[in-house]
Amino acid sequence: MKIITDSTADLPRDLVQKYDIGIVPLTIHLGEKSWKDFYDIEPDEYCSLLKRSTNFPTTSQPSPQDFINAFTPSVTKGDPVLCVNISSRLSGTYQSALLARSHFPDARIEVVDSLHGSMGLGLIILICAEEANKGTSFESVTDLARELTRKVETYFSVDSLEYLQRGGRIGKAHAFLGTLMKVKPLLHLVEGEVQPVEKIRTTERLLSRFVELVEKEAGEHSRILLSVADSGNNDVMTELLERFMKIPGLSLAYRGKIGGVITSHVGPGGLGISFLKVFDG
Amino acid sequence: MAILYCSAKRFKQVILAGADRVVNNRDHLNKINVFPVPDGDTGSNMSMTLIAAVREIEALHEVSLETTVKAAAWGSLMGARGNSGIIMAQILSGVAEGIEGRERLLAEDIVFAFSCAVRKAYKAILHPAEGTILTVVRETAEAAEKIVKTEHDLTILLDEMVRAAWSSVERTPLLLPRLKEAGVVDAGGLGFFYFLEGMVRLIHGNMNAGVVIDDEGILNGTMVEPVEHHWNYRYCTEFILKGSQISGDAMKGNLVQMGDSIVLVGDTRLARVHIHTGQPDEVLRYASSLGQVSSIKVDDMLVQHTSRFANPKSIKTTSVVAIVLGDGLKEIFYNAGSELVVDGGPTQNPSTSDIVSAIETVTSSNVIILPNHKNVYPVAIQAAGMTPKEVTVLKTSSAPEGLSALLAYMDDASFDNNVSNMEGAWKGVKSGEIALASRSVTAGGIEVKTGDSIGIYRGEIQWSSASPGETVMNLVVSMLDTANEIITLFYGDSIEKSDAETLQSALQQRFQDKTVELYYGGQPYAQYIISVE
Repeated sequence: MKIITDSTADLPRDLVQKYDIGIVPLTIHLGEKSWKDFYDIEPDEYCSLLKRSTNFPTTSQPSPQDFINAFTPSVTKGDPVLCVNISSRLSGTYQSALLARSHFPDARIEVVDSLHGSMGLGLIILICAEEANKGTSFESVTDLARELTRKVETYFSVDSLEYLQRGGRIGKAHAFLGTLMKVKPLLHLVEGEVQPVEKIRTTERLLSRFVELVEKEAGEHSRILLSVADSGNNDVMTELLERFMKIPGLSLAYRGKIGGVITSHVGPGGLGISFLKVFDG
Repeated sequence: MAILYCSAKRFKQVILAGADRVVNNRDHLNKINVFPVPDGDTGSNMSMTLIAAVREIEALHEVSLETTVKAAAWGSLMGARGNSGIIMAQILSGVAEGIEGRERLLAEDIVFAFSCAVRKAYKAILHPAEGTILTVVRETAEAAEKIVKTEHDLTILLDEMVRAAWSSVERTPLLLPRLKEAGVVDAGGLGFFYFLEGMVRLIHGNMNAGVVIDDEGILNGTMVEPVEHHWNYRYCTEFILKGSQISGDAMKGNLVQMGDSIVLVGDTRLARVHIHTGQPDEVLRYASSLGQVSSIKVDDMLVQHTSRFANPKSIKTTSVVAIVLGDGLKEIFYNAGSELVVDGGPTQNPSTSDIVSAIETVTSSNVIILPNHKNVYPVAIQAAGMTPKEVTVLKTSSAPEGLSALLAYMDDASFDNNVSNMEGAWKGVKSGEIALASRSVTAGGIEVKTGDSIGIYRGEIQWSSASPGETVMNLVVSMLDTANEIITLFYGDSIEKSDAETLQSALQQRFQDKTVELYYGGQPYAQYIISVE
């Protein structure tokens, strides 16, 4: 089977190669320039460009043709395709993938709305890819993907709500707009949409809240599988990871970087975590 | 002529006389107020508290000893301001509990009631300090217990109690070094002495009963109860009114014509208005004629009513009431999610009834209170016990602490989650303030000259200088440690914006790895409130 996702999964390149995951890119536009996300520009490079830019970025979803192109080789070989995409509440990418599927009425293609993005989508893809590698059936991996969309939790913080607001992805966190005091909002993805959690002043408090959120899920008969990513906030993420690694029963699936498309919507300085509670036995 | 018992009528007269004596000595009590903080309001607080007791007695229709004593207790509880006011109210309610069921009081009844009062007062204060009003009340009660063994004449009993109270007041500087340093006796203790002395003076015919009521222009948070519910008053309208001479009574008179459920909280310069009306535009037009209207919120309750039934999740689970002083700070608190902000702080303690009416007014039946000052905390605790609503009082003792707690508030989170998130959010914040010294004093080895800017942190004067900027800089140094990230200045109403901005950039220059933020606080009592987090 073939697993395909879009570039907002923000998966590290070595994992993409190891599991031969197909990546369909979204496009980033900043001023006069455009890049294919994941292929044309590195996250850190884009982040520093964005910080210096006076323009505001926009992004565009892949066309159905892009997905048709991605599906075709597998369809020709007769391999089934599992395509998992960024939350349909945040992007039209899932729609494009659905349209592409309708061009192959006889092929085995499943398209799943992940309800997540970045390290959340990446974590779902990685778990599915590992499962597929073990030889698990296409149907079971597809069921697992749908189950994970509801079980994975994604929390993230931004330096300012400006990017989420101007990009139209602010969701219910608009309640935090217009706060006179300068804050770093802590946010939660709920059913694929941005929800506010808490207005936080200091990095110290932010980190301890992230740790609390994961810690309360850790228990005697369960493990926590975690993925993290940041947009131009490397040192703080390193510090956060050190604290996470002290939680008993926690294992890090991977540490990634928030890619160009998601960075365009959360801005530089973002921190994100996704985790899954796995029961033993 | 011996007086052997006290009736309802006599009780009323002595309370009035005692209150009058305290009110007349209010300014002196304010002046010598140095403990727990030299904020000069003990006289005002005790006066307000006793005036509230007197008003309640005067409003009685059916006068018996029990109703009179209970009215005094209830009135003082509702009107209690400040630490000394709270203690005074506890004394009166202790007395009320001690004489329950009596029609007249003999000497031993009075002594017993007094010992109840002492116990109640000590229990009300979290960390009772000796050398304060508590000591004076206790020693007076102990003296009374000795006298009553041989003496049954109330005149002689009271004379001896006043004498005991005075010698106890005189000893307060020996128990409390802060008083000795400042060369004063305890203001609260002296206030209690005046209260007893007023009674004795009446009995000896030295004065007339009758109290001058002075409200100092403060609007109380009173509520005009709706007679029945009108859906034609379907718009819940709220706004903040800034003006120079807002008259609460005149405004209420006009608003009553336009709607019901009217609540006015605030002072002559800044008022928070809440009304249910059919014509919100008319209300706002009227308000605009009085001053600057801001933070307008108009909700159609009929729609809310219907949608709440359709979607029970949309009901607000928690409301926050904050107590803070200064128009800038009030705006920041409203902005951060406080549903009502009651005026109050070091120089102006809110009454219990102000807080009770705020609790009753907010939409949720679960209420979190941010007292933001340690003298307001006991008032808020008392208010919390007087309403059927579920109320939690957080122990925030400064505006920055309250703000940090408030930032963790979410109006759709559960009450328990809000309490624990807010509780966890304010403890990492340190706050200090810069105030003008009203008298020369040497405290903790620091020489303070009248007119100096003094920097206070952890209840102690850390620095004193003629320049507020110099004091701010040095106070920040003593507050800061390497783990801190943000220094925030809230400048008061006596400070020019440009001076505050100059100070902000000087601080940023000096502490380059920290973020320095500046906000207008508008507080009257401190030139700057500083937080470090």
